[in-house]
Amino acid sequence: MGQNSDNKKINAMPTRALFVYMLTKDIPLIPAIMDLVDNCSDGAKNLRGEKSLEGLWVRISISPEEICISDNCGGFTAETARKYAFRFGRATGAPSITHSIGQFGVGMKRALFKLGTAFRVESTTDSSRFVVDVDVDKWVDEPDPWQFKFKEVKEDLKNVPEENRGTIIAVKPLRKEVSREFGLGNFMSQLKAEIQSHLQMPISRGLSVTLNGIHLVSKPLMVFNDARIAPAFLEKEYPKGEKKAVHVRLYCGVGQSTNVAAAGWHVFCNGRLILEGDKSSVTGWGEKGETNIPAYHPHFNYFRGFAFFDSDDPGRLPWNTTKTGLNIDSPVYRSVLEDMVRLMQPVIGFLYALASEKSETEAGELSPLEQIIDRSPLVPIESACTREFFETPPVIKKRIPTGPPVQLITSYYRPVDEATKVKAKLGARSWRAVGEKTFDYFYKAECDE
Amino acid sequence: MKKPSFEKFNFSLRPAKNIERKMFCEVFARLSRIAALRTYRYLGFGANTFVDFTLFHQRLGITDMMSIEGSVAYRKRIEFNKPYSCIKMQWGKSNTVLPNLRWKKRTIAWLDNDVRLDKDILADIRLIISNMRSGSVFAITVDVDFDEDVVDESVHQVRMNELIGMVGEQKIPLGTRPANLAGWGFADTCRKIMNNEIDAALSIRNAPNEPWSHLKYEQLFNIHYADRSKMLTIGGILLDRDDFGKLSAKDFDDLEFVSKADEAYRIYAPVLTTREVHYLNGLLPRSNPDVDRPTWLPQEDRKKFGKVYRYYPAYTEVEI
Repeated sequence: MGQNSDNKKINAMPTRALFVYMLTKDIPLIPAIMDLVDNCSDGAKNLRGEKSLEGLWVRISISPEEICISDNCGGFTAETARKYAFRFGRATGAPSITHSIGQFGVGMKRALFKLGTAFRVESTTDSSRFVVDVDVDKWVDEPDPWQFKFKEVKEDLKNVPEENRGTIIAVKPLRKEVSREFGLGNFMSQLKAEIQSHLQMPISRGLSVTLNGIHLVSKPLMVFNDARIAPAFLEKEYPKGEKKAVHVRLYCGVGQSTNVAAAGWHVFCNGRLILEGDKSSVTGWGEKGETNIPAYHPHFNYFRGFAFFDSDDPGRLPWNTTKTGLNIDSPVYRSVLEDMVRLMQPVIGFLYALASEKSETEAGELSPLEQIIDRSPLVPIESACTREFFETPPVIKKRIPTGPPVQLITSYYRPVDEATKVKAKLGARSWRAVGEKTFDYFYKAECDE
Repeated sequence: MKKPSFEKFNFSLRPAKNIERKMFCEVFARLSRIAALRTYRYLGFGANTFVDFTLFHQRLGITDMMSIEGSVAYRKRIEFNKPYSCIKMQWGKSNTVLPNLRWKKRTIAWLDNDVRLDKDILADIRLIISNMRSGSVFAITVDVDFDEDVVDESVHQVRMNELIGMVGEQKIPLGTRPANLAGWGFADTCRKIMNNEIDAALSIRNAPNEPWSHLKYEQLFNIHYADRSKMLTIGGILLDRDDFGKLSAKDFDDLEFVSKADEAYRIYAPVLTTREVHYLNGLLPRSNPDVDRPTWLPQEDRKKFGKVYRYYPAYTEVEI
């Protein structure tokens, strides 16, 4: 009987090699590194909650041989490592961090596989310390079951000093293509820019982040804040009043037109920048003519939109698994997009008015709306004075100066005998009078209304 | 500059529109089952005659009234013509005004356009359905006349291209063939496009919320008429579970012009003299609206009058 039922079973066990291959193919290099850095900032948020993150740090060091990310953000326990952190996929019952970024239970492993062929994870909390050392190539060939082994583990520690608590993740050797990228100056500059914009919220709250010893600073999101062009603000909750609801804040206004990368919509999920300066239909721009919002155009370089999605349950946030883009089918996002479009309309109306004013203004002069922009203070979005609706300020049209009618001189050559005949016929005394009288004669006959 | 349509016609003299307005009034009056009418806001395009505003203020007692007006150049003249002080003007096109309105109050919105359907009108529909609270009614009128000078064998494709230009290819309902756009078929297609927009907006609005709190849209209006151009009005009521218990489309079953179906109700306004109107009124109401007298009046006109006699406008010249 038993043998019979075994015969009816078909093996569907995934292979480890497939997992390593698949997981690493669907994420680009920088987002993979961001996943590891996100774990540090999640740790920081877990330690401090809504309080300042001063004193906490994340150090990233990268060379063509190795990547090492270390932090003092509290670490995670051997128990968490044993039960959840190294599992593929988030287990039911896994503890969640308030407003965390980690959600799917795949980011760290995927990043480690992507970066190299061996890694080491070392973490110390107030009561435990462990080291996991994995040679990926060997692990792939190991027989079942799916597990990693602690190289060292201590769980009965007492009062580990705060400065010693944290996590160190090192990957070495790196995969060939990763090592090649890590040797390029351009890659390092790009990584720096990406970390700065993606972690701008925690950095602005005091988290110190260094890349190869260089201190990274947050670039605050700036908007014009003259009361007449202050951004509109809208706050919503889905579902309303629930503890783990998605809390949405939208800002829509104008900023400096010279910073084209900052124009468009910026979308954040639990503080992590998901879309930066988006100018596509994902954020309501009419790329394919699906709405009455126009496609993005340089007129809109002043446009600034910010959408913040926050939730205690990161699973409810509208991001994709690599956190590099939005899940545009998310019911919450689709509903919020309607509001985003609604907030955009008046700002776009304002920018059209601005563009048409500019076209009517002499070069070197500022149109009335430009003058408002020119004199307006630029402030970070969080400290901006907002209003319920963005409205185009009424401007008084410049009066066209009234002066004497504009005149011009015309001159031409004609044969002397013909001209003399005309002069005689007109009874004109001068050649100038001949010109004027013939002009008047024609005008009266043909142009007078 | 294109003249606004009120420069071309006197709105109050368009009989079918006049009838439609009075029919609406009868529908709106029943909203009192949901909430007192004085708590409602009326949102419309008053132009310079404000005929709808006058009617709804007089008959329904609505005092929160907002007229959206794009003809800013006629500002002083239009302000002068406001019949009541409770009418607030919102200057600008509807798609710049609507995004900046609050929607906390129950609203009766009638976007009585005199132009053809376009992306801006679809955006208005989307915005209203996304924001209007339960118990609110909305109606939207559009011109559904191609108004061609020449009709030849290429006309079907020309019309189709025009429609695509108006709303965008991705809004054309699946299976629409160029030949479907002939006659009132254009109205049916426009209605489908607008209904699709309503459905999409409502689905997006409801999706993130608990099923018990979902809003339901019930069609009340699907009206055709032609004072000159062919016109289409669609509309309906938005209801949550509570309000649905107080009022729904079935409560309008006694009104023939309230249409829940795909088939439109056509308003006919037969041309009759005042004497004829008085005579026919004397024979009405009847269980069968086919008045059999006077025989010298076309039977078709008698029949049409019987359907609208309660709303039929009486015009006369007055020496003031």
